[in-house]
Amino acid sequence: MIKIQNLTKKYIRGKKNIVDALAGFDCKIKEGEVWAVIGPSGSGKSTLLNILGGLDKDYSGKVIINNKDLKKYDLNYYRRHVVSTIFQQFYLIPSLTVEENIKLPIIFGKQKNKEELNERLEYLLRKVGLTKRRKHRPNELSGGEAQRVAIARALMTNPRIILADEPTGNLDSKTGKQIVDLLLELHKEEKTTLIIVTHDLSIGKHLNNKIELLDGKRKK
Amino acid sequence: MIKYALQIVFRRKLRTFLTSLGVTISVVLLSFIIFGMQGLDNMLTNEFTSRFRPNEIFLTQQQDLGFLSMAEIDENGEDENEEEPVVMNKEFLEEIEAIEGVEEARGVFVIMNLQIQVEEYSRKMENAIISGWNAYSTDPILGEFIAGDEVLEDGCVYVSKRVSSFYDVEPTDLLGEKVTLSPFAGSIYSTQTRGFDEKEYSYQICGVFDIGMDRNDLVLTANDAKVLLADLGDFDSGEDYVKEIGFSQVSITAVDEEIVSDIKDKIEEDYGVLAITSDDLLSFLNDITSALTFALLLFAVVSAIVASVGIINTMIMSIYEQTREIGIIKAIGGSNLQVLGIFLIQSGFIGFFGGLLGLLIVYLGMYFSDPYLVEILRDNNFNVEQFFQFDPVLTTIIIIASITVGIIAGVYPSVKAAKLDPVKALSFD
Repeated sequence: MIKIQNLTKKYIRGKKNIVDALAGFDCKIKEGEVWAVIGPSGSGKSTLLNILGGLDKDYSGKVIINNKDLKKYDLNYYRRHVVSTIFQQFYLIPSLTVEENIKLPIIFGKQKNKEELNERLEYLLRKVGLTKRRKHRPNELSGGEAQRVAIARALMTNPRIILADEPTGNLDSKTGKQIVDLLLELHKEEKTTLIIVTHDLSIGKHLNNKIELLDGKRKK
Repeated sequence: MIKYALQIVFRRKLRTFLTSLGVTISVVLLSFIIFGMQGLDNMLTNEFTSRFRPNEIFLTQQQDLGFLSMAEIDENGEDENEEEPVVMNKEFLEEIEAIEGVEEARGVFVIMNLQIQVEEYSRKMENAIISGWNAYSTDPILGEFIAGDEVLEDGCVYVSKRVSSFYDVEPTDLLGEKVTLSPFAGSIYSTQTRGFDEKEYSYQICGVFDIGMDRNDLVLTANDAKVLLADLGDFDSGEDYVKEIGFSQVSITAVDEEIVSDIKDKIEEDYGVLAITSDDLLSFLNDITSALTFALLLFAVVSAIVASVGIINTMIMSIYEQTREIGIIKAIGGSNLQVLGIFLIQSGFIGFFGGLLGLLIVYLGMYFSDPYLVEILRDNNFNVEQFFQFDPVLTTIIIIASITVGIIAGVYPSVKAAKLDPVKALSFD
């Protein structure tokens, strides 16, 4: 369960120019639900995701994740085991192979059973259709393949919440649809809470739960 | 995490290699200084210990050896503590021999300003250093005794290999030859009188020795020496000379090396002469090599600082290149400490690689130069088998020091990387 109350985030640009990226945002998302956060550029979508992803802790208001205030979490633990973020630019490590990129979050977490990890890796590679491309490096992959690697990496640690920030933004519409379908399929299988941030209204149409943001506020 | 950090290092092989070269140069400099000074120290220590037995004490007048006597010289150039010197004569020798723990005390004359001429040859070896004492072939102070009589008798002399080299003959060729000693008028120390340089003293060569780098060209018996000195100095007899002038030095053999320092203290306190033991010489030698090593190490430290600056520069460049990766690592749960670790592993590896490369160069240099160095030293009468010696402990210390330099140089860039804000790092272009 994600409960957000009066979430406010201000950016200070210059001496007097204060921009309200989020201005008293509220919402409630139940565990296992899929939500779309839609809105134009500068409406605060990415700011919201950065806060939910534990990347930005400089905010006011309350963010409750699984009945615990986000500010009380160890953010490293939170980012390793509770939440995973998929970015528009994929953000893969160029020197690592597909499977090394997918395994990367494990390096920074508590080491699990090696057998279990390998099983999980094989399962995810199969799911994202990259078993044969496991030894390839990111520069040898297409945009869609790179985003599938990022999805597999996000799921590697079995997080309960997946945040996708414009996951189709760098892809053509056909590949973009495939990626969204993959995300929805994995959400069903893994029973994760999925929040997709997008300005692509066609994605929003497929989803029942929508948050529309405008100037940092939820559009009524 | 280590594998990932090393992958980043290997991603930029040329830069890693060039940065490591700074450490390599420091290590080469440092290692040659340490191993070279260690080799020098060992060589000199071996030379000393082969000449001086640990149960021996040498006595000399304080003014003879200023550097060991701690003489306090006032502004007029005089020793403030100077007292009337004790004459190291026959009575003095008897008193020394009476000290508990003294086995034997031998008087030694040191005679300067004489020249040596072997009768067979016309050339004269000028400015020879001659000593007079009751020597025997196994005396360690003679170095290696090549051939000749076991005990030196009156009328006989031992000559050093330097004399045979001077005449360009084999040392044993001199055995049985007649040798003449006469005053050397050209010495800057001599104040000659008419007829003085006509004096000559002849002896038979009964032994030859190789004393290495030391200067002791000819050894007379103490008896012959005092007769010679009495005649040169216009004394009535040798006994008269010894009574008035005394021996130049006294060589004492203690029954046990454990009591050498007690004997030394007692003699210095009671007689005011300078007593030198093998420990004194070794510690003096050690002080010189330590001071020299320290001075040379300063160069290596400067070089290490330059290498550190190189590593800092490379690591800062690396942070700029990896800013987005740092953001990714943080976004997937990497902590500040883990990011710090990744960068410290990188800088530590650069130090390690540089150190390893430096040691490899040093060992190859040592391996190939050692035979030539040993040959040169042997030509100069040093008895060495090997100059540079592989020291696994020092090698380990040098490797650890290289890694430490790398890590220390990497601290600032690593802290900078660890403190990066993940959101800003991810949006960095």
